[in-house]
Amino acid sequence: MNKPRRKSDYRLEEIDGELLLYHPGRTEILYCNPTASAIWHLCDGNWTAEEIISLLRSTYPEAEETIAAEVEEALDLFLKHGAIEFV
Amino acid sequence: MHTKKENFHARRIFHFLGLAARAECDASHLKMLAETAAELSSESPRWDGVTALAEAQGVAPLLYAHLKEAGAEPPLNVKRELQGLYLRHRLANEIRMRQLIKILASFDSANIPVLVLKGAALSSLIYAEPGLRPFNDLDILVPKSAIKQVQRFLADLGFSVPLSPFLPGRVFFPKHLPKAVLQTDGISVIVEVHFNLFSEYESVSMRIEDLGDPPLSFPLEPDGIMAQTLGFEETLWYLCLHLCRTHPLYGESRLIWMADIVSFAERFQREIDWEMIRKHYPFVLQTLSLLHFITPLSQSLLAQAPLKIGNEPQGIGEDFRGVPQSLFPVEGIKRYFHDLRDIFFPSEWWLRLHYGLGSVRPLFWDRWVRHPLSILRLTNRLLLRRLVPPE
Repeated sequence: MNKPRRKSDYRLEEIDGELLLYHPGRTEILYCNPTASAIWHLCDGNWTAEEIISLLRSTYPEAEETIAAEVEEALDLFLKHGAIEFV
Repeated sequence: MHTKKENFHARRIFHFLGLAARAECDASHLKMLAETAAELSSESPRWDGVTALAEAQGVAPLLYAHLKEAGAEPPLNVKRELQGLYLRHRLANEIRMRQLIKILASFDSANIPVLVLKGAALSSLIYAEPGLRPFNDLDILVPKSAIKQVQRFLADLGFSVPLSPFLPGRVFFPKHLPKAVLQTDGISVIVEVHFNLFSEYESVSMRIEDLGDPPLSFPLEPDGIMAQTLGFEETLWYLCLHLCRTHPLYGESRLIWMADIVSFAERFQREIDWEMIRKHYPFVLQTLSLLHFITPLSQSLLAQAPLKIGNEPQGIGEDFRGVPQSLFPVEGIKRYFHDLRDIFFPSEWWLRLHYGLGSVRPLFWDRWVRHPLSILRLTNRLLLRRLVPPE
């Protein structure tokens, strides 16, 4: 069980130029930058964290050195807020 | 006890939220909103408590939308809180509406007449987007004869429906069934099935069979499926009674209910039979004349409806404190007499709203005779209920 998957009740939407991750029944809101948004969309239960890092490194080679830390941080945050589960 | 400064700030925030308590703002409303927002930003305490109170009053999405329209920029943390609330309510409303559409379709298959009430109807009927009007329950009105069928349909749709409409100690609910609940998509969808618009404590009764106005048809967002609600005049009357009579002694009135009334009157000012309102539902005119001090009515509505606007009443927004929880001092004599003063001497605003006095009629009789007698009658009823519990 090492592939992150979004929980269906959560939504990521853009509003006023910002990306918000929210749940209709909860008060906490997560503000996501474009990288976190990309990570969120890759959490479909098909990729491991390492595969997500690898994919983003190839997409954003200029951020190669920071991608791993950003992915780890984003997944931790999503998990802490209950927005993803590992399958 | 709050300091004078805290009380002043609370009143200012309430006034600010009142300006946003309407479906649509014209240029003058937006200007007032922007000016008050600028004042809040320049003073201390700044926006403390604004978001929390906006949410409690049901107007957070409206505040978000109108501030944006006015070009007013709240502090970043407030803006983000309002963004979050707007999105949450929009999604929650979508989920509830999907269930409402299924409910209406199943009732339609059995020819059960049904009217959609309050937030579930108004969110599609008068607000630019359904998400601007938060609501928790789906309120519907059906014939009492259809109750068992209705419960079966709700159960078939997955709602947790009480097995019996009977409650211990009561023969029947006075006006609606116990709530039916469905957990779906992360929220609770609650259906309140009414068979009478008013409770046993009201002097009026209104069942679907009694309605005089033809129902108003409207498309339910987002699918455009047609639903029905009360007619123009009966909607206004029902909303005004709900604001002024149903809750004041047992809960707080909310700005979103005031927004509903003003917005409905503004939206349908040409369709509403104001002469009929004047003759049969004068309470509506009295209520609107007071709500003008919460969110100013448009010039066109003031010209259309036979409203009399008097002086601004004292204590706008101050709710009634309710009957005492105990008739005996529990927190000390000083607190007891303070409570008694609140009970027998409520704000002018509340008195005028609750007793349908409008903003012009003198207050003397209602303050010194009618209200004290009303409290004594209510206290007597509560005492009797405690001494003689229902069988």
